[in-house]
Amino acid sequence: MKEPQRIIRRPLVTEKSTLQKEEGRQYVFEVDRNANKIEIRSAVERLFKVKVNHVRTMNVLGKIKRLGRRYGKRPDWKKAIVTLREGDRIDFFEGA
Amino acid sequence: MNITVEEISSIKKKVQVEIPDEQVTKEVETLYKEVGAKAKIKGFRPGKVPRNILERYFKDYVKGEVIQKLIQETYPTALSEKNIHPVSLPVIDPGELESGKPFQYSATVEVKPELKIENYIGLKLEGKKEEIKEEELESRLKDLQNLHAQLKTIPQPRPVRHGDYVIIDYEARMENKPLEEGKGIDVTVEVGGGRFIPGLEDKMIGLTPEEEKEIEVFFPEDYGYKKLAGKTISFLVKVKEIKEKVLPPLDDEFAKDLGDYASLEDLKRKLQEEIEKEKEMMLDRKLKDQIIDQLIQAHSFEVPESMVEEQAKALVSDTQLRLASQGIVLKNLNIPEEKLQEDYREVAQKQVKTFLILETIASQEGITVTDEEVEERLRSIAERAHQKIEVVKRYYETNGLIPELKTGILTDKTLNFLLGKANIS
Repeated sequence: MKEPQRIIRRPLVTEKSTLQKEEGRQYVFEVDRNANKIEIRSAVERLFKVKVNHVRTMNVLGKIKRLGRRYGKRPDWKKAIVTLREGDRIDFFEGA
Repeated sequence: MNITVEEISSIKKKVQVEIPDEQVTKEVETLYKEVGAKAKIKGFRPGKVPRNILERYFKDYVKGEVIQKLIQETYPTALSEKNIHPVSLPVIDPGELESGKPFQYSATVEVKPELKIENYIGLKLEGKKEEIKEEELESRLKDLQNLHAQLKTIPQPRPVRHGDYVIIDYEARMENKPLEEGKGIDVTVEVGGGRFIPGLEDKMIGLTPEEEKEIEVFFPEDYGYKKLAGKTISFLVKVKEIKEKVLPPLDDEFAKDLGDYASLEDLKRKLQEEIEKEKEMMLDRKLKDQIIDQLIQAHSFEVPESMVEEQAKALVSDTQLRLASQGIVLKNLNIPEEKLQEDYREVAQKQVKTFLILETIASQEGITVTDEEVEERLRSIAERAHQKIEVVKRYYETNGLIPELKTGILTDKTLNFLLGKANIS
């Protein structure tokens, strides 16, 4: 199995993710596209020393962008929403 | 707000200010609100950034701003509350700022020393107005004559004498090599005037027109121009023409030519008056110098460093201006400004001391400056500068020089007051 640092790309800090964190102990990450939920779960648990209740993932398709007549595509990526056990928390902003 | 004042010395004070926590919190809150409304952070719409994220990005900025704002707001009130009039910029030492805790800072400022000047009535001064001597008038007249003298070519060729003006061509050689800069054609030299190359002038005495001669001149070690110092230079000099100075005769005609003088008698009388006035001013200055010296000697006190510094700076810039008017740029003289300031330090210190003493006496005696006196002073400045008084006044007002002018008048008045009360022998 890959080391956790390669599975978890970065925390996602947005308005929505901040809200989820505050209301439902859900933390949002950008993760490796090939990682599955089990890998993500263990990576988060090992990296942040917390207990994960469950993981939800989704593939985010990159936007098609146009510059003049040329079309380009932003890369696709995988988003993971990790729900922690009650009482656990992650201060992932320190390194961000 | 809690203010304590600590006296470090007679001229230094440390002001400690404590600002209560509510005020600190309020300031921090409002600033975050302000920042939050405008901050653009990825992932958030402007104005929707949560507080903890804002803090991460703007903590140092907010801290600095709040400290600055709090100090700016409270510093003047703290001073006026404790009746401190600083003469220097404060050295501020801010404490730690934390929301919800009182904020402390200290400001160290220099103040004018509290002086008590005594025994300034009936100072013993020495000095008498000098009588005008006949010779002084004579020399004045002679100067005028010299000023209006004309150069005339001598009718008959004769050797050069002391006091002649000669027109020469010359070429300088050092160690048998011609010097580039040592060449001159049709140069007018006053023999014995001491303005040309030293030593060369005297050796030209006795030359006749059209005569060429090789003259050797030794330049002393301490000669100003380093390249030539301590060297022997030979000059090939050719005298082209000898001119004599012809002084105009002292008569009524001469007096009329000079201006509005009706006759020679009239001119003499005017000169006499002029000399008299100068002597009076000299005496005045001498007596006032004595007053100042005596007062400074009788009272020792500490002088705020910043005032001295400022005064020294002013003196330096004065010098710069004066040199500039002669076409000399200070930078080209290889004298660093700092060195100059150091040199002026002592003078500046004396001036500051004088000013402090006189100011104290003025307040003790209730001497003040009225608006009319300012007006009067402006008028006389305007006259000297050949400007309209309105122009001068506007200049002084826009440049904020009126207070300076006022203190000038105040010190003058105080000095005159002291002079009036002094014992002159």
